Amino acid sequence: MTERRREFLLWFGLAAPPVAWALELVVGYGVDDAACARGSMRWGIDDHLSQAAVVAVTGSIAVAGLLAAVASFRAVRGGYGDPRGRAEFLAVTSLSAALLFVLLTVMTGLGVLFLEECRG
Amino acid sequence: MSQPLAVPVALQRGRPLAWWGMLLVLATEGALFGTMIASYFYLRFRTPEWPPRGTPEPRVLEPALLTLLLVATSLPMALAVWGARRQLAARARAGLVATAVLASAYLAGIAWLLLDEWDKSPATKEAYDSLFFTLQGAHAAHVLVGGLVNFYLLASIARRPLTQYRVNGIWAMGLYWHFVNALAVLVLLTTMSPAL
Repeated sequence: MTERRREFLLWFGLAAPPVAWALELVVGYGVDDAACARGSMRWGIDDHLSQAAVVAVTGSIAVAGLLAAVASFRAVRGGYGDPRGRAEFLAVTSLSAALLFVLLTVMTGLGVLFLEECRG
Repeated sequence: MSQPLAVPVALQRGRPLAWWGMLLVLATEGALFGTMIASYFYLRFRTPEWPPRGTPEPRVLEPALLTLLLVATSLPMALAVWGARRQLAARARAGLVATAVLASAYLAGIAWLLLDEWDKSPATKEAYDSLFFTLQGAHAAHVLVGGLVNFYLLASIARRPLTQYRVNGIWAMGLYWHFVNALAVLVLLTTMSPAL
């Protein structure tokens, strides 16, 4: 694997899961608002279907981030790194954060999909 | 023996600090515009008639053409950055001149459009008008600031050498310019959305 690719995996593993969760919250809120608000209700947006799409996309990004974090962690365990320990720090941090944010993304998604729509 | 306080240019690696600093500035700018666009749609979703009755629908053709013109300035700006990074001062100058001229044309056009819209329905009339002018005005202000900095950079390399300090300035400004152009598309789509 090239150095550039390893660097990308390190940063993607660190950033993708939290960004995915933030996107799930913000875009999901927007979709819900568009489906349920007085002015846009007549557009006929299917709230659950749209939310399912948002959850699928953001969940995929979060899981991809987790996989990148696992790959970086395994690379570090296999000897990849630098004298300052930067790669090791990023790999361990991103793996811990990715696990947490994947869980958050899944739990948020489940809540959104199973609760009755437009009740807020 | 005292330690040097700054990293010598020859030892710099990667992108300059000015570029990273600009990235942080743009993060806050992105949040600002994100908030304004979210406010626009928040109100839109709650209003049965959008634009409200008595307010004309936004123009489509003229703002779209002007935005196209502005987005096209990313090319000369990229040329300026490319030239500056390779110490090709003439290319850097040409890129900055073309960017500044086209941006001036855009600003003149958008000022005319906004004044015309203001005559029909001023910002004080409805929340719709208020958001329309806030979004368009904030974006035009960003283009104006970018254009002024472009003129400053142009003046600074017109008769003086292309030092690393000035290259870093042009590099950071290139990032700002591409960001403002991407924002122009988002602002256009948002403000044009009632007419689509």
